[in-house]
Formats: sequence, C-alpha cells, structure tokens
Amino acid sequence: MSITYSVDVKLDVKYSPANILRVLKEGAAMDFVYYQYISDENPVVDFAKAVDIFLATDPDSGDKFMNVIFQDTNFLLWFFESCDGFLEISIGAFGVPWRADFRDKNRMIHLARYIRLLLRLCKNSIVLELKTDDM
Amino acid sequence: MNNKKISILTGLGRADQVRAMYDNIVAILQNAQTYNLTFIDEKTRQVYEPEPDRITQIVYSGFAADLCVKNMDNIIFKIDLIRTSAGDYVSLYPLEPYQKKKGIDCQEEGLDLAFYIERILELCEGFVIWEFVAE
Repeated sequence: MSITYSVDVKLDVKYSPANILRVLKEGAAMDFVYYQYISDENPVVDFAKAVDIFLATDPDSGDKFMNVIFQDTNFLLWFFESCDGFLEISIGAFGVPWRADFRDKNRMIHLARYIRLLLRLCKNSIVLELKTDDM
Repeated sequence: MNNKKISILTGLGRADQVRAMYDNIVAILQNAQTYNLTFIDEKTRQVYEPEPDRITQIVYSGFAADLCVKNMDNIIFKIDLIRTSAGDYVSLYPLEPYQKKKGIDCQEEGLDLAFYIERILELCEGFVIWEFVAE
C-alpha cells in the first residue's frame, strides 16, 4: 500500500496562462484563499500577477506552487504542462483535519473529499486522467 | 464511436479473512443501493440481485468478479472486484452509452471521467482509498 501525497488531474484544455488564471478564479469562487508562502500575512488577490510569477519561476524550484487554505484544511496547488501540451493540476500535502474513521477503524486522510474538491475545481473542463501519487 | 476503455482502480486495503471480505462486499452493494445503482445481466440487461456470498467466494479465490450496473439515467458501466497481493481493488469500466460533456476549449463533446470517478467514490464510500487511477 502506498501513502498518497497528491491527487493529479489532466484536463482537456491547453496549458496556458489564461487557463491557469481561470482555474485560480474558479478556486476563489469556491472560497479558496491563496498564499504564495504559508507564512505570508496577506493572501494573493492579484491572480494575473500570481500567474506571471508562477510562470516565471524555475520549474525545478520548490516554490512553484500556491498554498491554499480551504475551510478547515490546507494543501498545495501545482500547475503542470503535460508532455502533449494539456493542463495538469495537482493538489497535495494535505492538511490533517480532513480525516475520517473508515470501516476498518483506520483514521486516515479522507482522500475522496480531496478528489471531489479537485473535480469541483475542474467542473467546467473534461477530465482526461485523474490519479493519486505518492511523489 | 469512442471505444476507449477506462479503468478506475480504488485500493480498499486487504481483507485478511473471508468474513472481512464478505462484509466489504456487502458494504459496496449497500452503497450501490444507496446511490440508486441497479445490477443487470450484461447480455440480457435483466435486473438481478447480486449474491454477496458468491461474489466473496469468487474474489477470495483470486478471480475477478464482474458486475454490470446501470444508474437512474440508464448509463451502464461494469465493476470489477479483484484482490491482488497489494490489496483489494474496485475497477470501473464505462459501457455504452458514455457520459460525455463539452468542456471549455473543446469543439466537441468528450468523454468526461469525472462522472465515473464520482460513481466509484460513491461505491467505495466508507472505505480508505489507498490508490486511485483513472486514465
């Protein structure tokens, strides 16, 4: 069994600043609050500028993600370009509050909630792939 | 016609005893009932009541149990229950007619995996998800 650290989705939309911006706005409409760094006092509100910073960041940099606070949990949000040019979105490093007791009495991260949250974020696009990853 | 075959794997952990596997299968069948899924014969399309005892025997013996299901909108898909050395898995394969939608950036309707991902999450409600693959 693997421990899941992220959920990755590949969408039938091109990797482009406009489409990244669209996803960020969709998240904001769902009450996502973005922070460049989790220690920042002020959330990111200029999404267009955030996309510019994101795209200008070295792809190998550990800073190429957004911190998201949502309800009582938090996670990281990444954007990638697939090898065939489509937009891939990942969420991961899940906060612990979204745990649940399951049938076998394991108290584990409620992964289905994060998968559904990612699907909600992508509801206007066609989902081509979705998978969990242990990084 | 789109003949793409999709596999959605959901790791459920691994039931060590027949009784535990039986309980898991009963829970999956109850989830199906809760979400208004009807079991049908793949060839005749006749509705039937699946037998958890028989399914348990098949899966515990190391074979895959195939179940054909339709929802209230008559969208038909197949579920495989199988155990591997890594754990017990539920797979879902869409059958005709596919659930399609038109996404942003798309000229034509495409097969949207989100619909099927939601269905398998419903079937596996209450279980820890260890791995999830939809592609």
